Amino acid sequence: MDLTILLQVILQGLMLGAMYGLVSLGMTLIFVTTGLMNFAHGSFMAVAMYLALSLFTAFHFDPYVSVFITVPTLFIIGWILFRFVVRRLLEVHILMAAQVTLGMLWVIESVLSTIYGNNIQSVPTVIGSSKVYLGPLVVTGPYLVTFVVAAIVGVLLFLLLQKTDFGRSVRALMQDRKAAELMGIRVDRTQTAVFGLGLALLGLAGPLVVPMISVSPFVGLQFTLFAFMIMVFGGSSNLLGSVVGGLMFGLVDSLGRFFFTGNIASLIPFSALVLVLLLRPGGLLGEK
Amino acid sequence: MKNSSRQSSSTLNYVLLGALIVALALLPFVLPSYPLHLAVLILLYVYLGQSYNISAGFAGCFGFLHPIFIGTGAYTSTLLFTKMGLTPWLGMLAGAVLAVILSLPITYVAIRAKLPRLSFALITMAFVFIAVYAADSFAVLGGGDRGVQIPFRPGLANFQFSSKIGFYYIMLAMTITLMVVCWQMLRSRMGLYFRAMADNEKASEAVGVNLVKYNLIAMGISAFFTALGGSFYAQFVGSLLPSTAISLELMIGVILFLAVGGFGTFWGPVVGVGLLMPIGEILRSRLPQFQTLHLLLYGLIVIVILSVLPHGIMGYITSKLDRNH
Repeated sequence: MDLTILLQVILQGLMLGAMYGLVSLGMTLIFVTTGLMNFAHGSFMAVAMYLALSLFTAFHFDPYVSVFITVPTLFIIGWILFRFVVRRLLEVHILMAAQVTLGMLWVIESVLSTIYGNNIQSVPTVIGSSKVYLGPLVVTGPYLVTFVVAAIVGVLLFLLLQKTDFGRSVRALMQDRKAAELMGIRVDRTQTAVFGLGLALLGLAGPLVVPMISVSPFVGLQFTLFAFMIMVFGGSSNLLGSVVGGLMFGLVDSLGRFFFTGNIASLIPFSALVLVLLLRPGGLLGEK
Repeated sequence: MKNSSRQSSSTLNYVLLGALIVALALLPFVLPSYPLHLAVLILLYVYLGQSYNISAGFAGCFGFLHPIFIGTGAYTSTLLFTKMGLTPWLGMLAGAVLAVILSLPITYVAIRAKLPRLSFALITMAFVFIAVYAADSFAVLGGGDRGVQIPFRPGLANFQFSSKIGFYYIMLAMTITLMVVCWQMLRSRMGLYFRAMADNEKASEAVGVNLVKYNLIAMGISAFFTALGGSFYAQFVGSLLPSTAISLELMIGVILFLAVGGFGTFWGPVVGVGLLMPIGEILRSRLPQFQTLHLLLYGLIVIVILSVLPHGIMGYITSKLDRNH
């Protein structure tokens, strides 16, 4: 009996972890192509979650339908912000670009809290109570959908990065920005597209997880930190690392919540981060 | 050319400094009680901004450890006072020393990992979350989530005053001391190393600057002054909660003010805080139904100012002065 519950916890952790992996992959892609750490990354995920909430209250859209609106919306927001604000600052100093994302963080938090209030909210979905049985284990619908979508999008992203010209430009930038520029790669265009792509992934993840994880205006920074921890777990020099790191984060987090309660449980992933930093600073899949 | 520019900016500094100190010393005779309260807060933000500027601006070690230093200072002086009756004047020194001791291993671990610059910022952010959860969980550390009340017994020895004027002059003295220390530091050899690291970490290492050593020194000095500010904050507010004593939000505020004023410039914190905080406070008192509107305004101002003047207001002015001479 106890073992079944434990397996159940592990399974749910892995399923949520897959989606965390995608969120982190967006952050890692932005980081390796521009060098920028986006402090508002998680806040944009909160924006996507609240968009799903608004679409639900206004039109009774299921979060899974809202995805088709939030993904392009977040892509456009990312494209505009990078093209007109972040890109110019990157040319001056990376620190200024990072500070501007802190400014965005405050703008987003303030706007969200003014519009939606400070309560914790969640969005229901029609498949919220449906269950799938895997032997002795039970998986609820939202977890399964999230996992399947994360897997499909993960494979598509892999193909995009491996097989297309865009993907080759991204990988070239990752290895050596100057050389890539000399080879005739349009660096600014690639960076803008990657920034949009990173935010589009949040537009996907936000509505998908909002039936399971509730949202409040000030939760963004914590999401940013989760994404960053996953990046460190996996190693930023390896894109596959984000996926492994995401699964590991989901596992550590859900096991922590299973064995401990309250603040101690919240401390578990952070302690794991410190351990990884001490033992393998390059990440689990990174170079030593 | 270098010499004359340095001379002109140093004359400017002396004139600004003299005028500012005289004006600030006379201020309590003009201001009624509430604006004086605000004036203390503004000075505190300038002080915290300059303390942060030492490590993040001058030395280029951009991170979020400072909420932990503020919390260390606040909790050390408060607990020594409430539990053992030690005067906060000694308590704040103990807190500052403790903050320095805490800062060194954390900075060492984060720097030794050799992660890219901005990762340091996020690692330190993780440490802040750890500290908040820890202060929340352990009653010894923070009095738990119910917080600690400091009993009100006015008197110089207790670092408590029945009017804000006492707090005002202490904070003014602390800020001026810190400004003088920073001024001397920037003119010293160490200040030169700091600026080399901030400009280009790899190049400074190549010419022989010991990165680990000078990052630790910068962080240590910064931690010391920040913790003193934390103790002051606890005495001024009169109570402590883990979420307000160890606050990332407060730190992000300090960073954004500094960014507007000019990251790594001597006058950056003064200009940034002096410009933004009054605007935000007016907005908050005029439109009390929108409690977070001032955050929106700060955020937008930062985005606009940085887009136009990437090095902040003082960064722009100093580069203009250098070019003219």
